[in-house]
Amino acid sequence: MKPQFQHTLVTSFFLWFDNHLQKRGDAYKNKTGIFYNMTDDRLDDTYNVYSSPYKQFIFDSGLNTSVVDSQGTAGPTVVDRISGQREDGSAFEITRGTSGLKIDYENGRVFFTGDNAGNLPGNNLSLSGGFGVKDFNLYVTNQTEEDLVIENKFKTNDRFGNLETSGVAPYDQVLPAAFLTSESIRNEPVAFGGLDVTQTNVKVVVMTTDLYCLDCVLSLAADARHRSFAEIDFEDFPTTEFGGIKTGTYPTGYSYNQIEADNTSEMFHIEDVNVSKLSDRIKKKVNPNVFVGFIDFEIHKYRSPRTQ
Amino acid sequence: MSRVVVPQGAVEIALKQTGKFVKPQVEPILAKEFKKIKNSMLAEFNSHPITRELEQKTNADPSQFVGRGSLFGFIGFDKNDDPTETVREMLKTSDLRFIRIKKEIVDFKVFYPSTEELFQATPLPWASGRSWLKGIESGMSGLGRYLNTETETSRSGGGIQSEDTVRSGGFKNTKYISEILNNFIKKINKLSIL
Repeated sequence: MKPQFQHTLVTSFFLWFDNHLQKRGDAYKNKTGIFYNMTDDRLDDTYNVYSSPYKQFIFDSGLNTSVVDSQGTAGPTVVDRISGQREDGSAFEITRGTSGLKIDYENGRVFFTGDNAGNLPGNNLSLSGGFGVKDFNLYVTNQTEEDLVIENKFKTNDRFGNLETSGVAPYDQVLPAAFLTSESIRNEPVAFGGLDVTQTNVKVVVMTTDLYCLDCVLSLAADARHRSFAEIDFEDFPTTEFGGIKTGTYPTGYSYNQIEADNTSEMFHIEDVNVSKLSDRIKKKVNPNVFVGFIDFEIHKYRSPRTQ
Repeated sequence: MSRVVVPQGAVEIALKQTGKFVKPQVEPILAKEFKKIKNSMLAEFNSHPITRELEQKTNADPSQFVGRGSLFGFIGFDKNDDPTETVREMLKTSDLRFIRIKKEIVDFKVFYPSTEELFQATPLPWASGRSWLKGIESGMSGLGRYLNTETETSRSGGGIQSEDTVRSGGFKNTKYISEILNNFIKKINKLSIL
């Protein structure tokens, strides 16, 4: 089946919310660190996997501006190269695409396939690099709130300075994170000619170990009421199945700012936002170290569903 | 017979005074009709299956709205909570008020709680920024069932202890307060004293 309205909405919302947190909340940390050799059963033997202790990496190069922000930087580092030493001690630095280097921004890791001459791949390389890590990972999920909050089997990304000595396992969902799901969709007629307003409820569960950060996300979300965001096609989601940037679609790198500037005609409108925190009197019944918040977005889009 | 000519100024004076003579005639009729409509709204609220289930608390098991247990326990209310009473009291504040007389126009207004006001007055027990009343119409998670549990006995008597696997049973959202208010508004718009 070809992608439908729902896919476009979720894609557009995901990318907007990710950008909203990072751009308006400086919700990232720039890190420099070691990449540890890992195994991944989902990849075949031609890939040598090296993982950082953090996920998810920032992949929006448009966030890096010449303006110094509250973190004292010009924005998050979008990793596009890796440096290190071969087994013989010689140093190297390679960029994305060279020697089959792929950067998996979603899982905070890199992997090589190596070139035809057999250069670079191996499991005994010492790799390091600089990268920007999201303060809040973002996941699209179909898990219910009770699944997320009660079962709560997530790992925590320590972004505040503890020494990490291993990579983070691939595909695990890691806190702090925001889990979003599109819960219901409804078309209401608004004008002659078949024009409807499509009302979609997007719910976000925010889970973090830090109350300050939870308040930041809830506040940023509440301030988004009556904002609009650009429509982005499902196919234009910036990352591949390997978590890397789609270089065909974004040859000079992915920039939400650029997409926003290029898509001014087709927009989604945030009609209403409601934020709430899990009540303290019952929070003790879930993991006491995790703070939970809920954001309910009501998103409107004027469209003609029967003629499209 | 001679023609009677009423000066335009006299007509205007008479018209200006019409309102204050009409008001005492119209007001009791309007008030009576309004009372009927208001009572009809309250009756619709009282007899709605959601209201009835919530008032039966955990005894409304099985529920026609949740997959397992009672709606009251699903939302996570405390056994001492009386959630529908808040809504009922707000609906009871609906009123017909005389505003002013302007020339021949007698101006009355109907006041009633908006859905937004009702939603703000009906927080979920476990997330005060969310409304259970809104959740009835737009859907809500079964988190309340799991959070609203004490070590042995549930506060509502209808929750269960969370175990490794979470199975809350689904919730079937349904038209509730917005439909009741819409019906009320429709009747008000048709209100006539003729």
